[in-house]
Amino acid sequence: QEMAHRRRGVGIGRGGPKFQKKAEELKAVSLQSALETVEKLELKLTEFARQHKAEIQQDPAVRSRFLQMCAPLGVDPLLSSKQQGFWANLFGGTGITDYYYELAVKVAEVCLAARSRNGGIMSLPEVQSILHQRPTKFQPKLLSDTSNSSSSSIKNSNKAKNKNNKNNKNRGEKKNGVYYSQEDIKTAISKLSGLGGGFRTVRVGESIMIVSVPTELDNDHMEIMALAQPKGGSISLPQVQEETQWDADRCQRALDLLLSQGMAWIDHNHQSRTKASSSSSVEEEEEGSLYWFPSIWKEQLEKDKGEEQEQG
Amino acid sequence: DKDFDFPEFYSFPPFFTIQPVLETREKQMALWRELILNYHTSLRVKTLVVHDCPLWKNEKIGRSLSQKDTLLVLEDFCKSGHGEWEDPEVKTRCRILWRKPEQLASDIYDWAEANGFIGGVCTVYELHSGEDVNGMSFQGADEDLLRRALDILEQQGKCSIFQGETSSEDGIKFF
Repeated sequence: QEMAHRRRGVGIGRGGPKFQKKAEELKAVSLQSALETVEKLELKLTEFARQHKAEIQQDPAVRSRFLQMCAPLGVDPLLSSKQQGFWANLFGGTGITDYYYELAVKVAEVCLAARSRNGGIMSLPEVQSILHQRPTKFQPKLLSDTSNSSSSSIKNSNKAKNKNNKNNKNRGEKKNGVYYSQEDIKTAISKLSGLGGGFRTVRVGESIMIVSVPTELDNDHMEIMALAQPKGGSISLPQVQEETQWDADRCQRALDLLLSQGMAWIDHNHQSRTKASSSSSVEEEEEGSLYWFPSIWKEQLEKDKGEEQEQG
Repeated sequence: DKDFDFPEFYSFPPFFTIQPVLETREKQMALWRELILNYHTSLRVKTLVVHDCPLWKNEKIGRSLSQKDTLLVLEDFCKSGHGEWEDPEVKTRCRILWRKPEQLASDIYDWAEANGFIGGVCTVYELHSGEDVNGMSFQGADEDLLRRALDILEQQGKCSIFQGETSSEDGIKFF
């Protein structure tokens, strides 16, 4: 009744009082039926969630559909139970909040572990690939037993890691029986962003990168990295200038930031084969130097590996 | 190159340029230390001859460490405790300690405990070549290195060494 009065619908002020009354009656009825529909929908969702708890946790397609079902209700089941209030009970038994929270923690761990080598930026497929290869001590046994064998590899972690990299034929392959879709990972990251630390996704060229440091990256930085993509992950200052037409200062500033943040490493030796004299000036060296982005380089490596597999 | 699984970073060209940014350089040095140690440990090579070592150059990517940088990397490696110059004046040969003497010492003592040698005796020979030491970190170890480890244990009061007829027959009593 309250809501009917608040509503400013079609019909108010039009026609005569008779019409108005009818219009209000209709609104009341439609509101009533809308409320009933919502109630039914709630019940259905609860039932669905409880019955399919396991699938919601394991299958990204099911999970995605479930979230879509919640959307028309304006419900975000990923909110913490405090924020949810009424909805807390409804979704309390589904574990969906837990699922994304746990995934977010895993993603953060992967990013933090890699930070010293890539400066805190890495491609989404790389994160996904690492997640799939991690031993999962605490995961219940799902599809395969492979999670048990990886616990003994902790001692030989270097060897095992290298072997895994070589054996990883398909980026999406389930090694430990658990699969995380890129959508899931993006959703988990969006939950992390509220915690500070700078977690976010950014677009570099055609790729999605995950940033895990608060460093402010502007379009100049993104563009330079995108330019390095077709070059295997490296670019020189003259190349940046040529392709962007920016002035040298602007190019250098952007490159310097990326270097200082550890997102780029410098390579002075790319002329080591052709360098005739050992007395080249420092300037000459700088000019010919290449800036390599570990995240882009890694990404291109995986791409090449993937293409090889397809052809071979 | 032989039977060693080179880490991914070995194919990353900037790995062969000493990085100017401190944090990045620290990561790079750590990777070099790891590479040097793992390479020599898995191939069971005890001595690194500087100008013969195949690690400084990666033909596949056309990169190599300069001579100056090679020494930087080696100095850093020695500081970490896993390497020692055989000739500190000229620095051409570096002894690689697959395990630091301190690590070996605790490994030996752990093994002694696990195999009921506390209160008992074994010889130096048995420690590096005995039947019971299969897979242990000190298996096949230099007697010299073993002794350093044993000296540490002695200092800690965990063993005492007594002379045998030959140095290999020197005995160790564990406490």
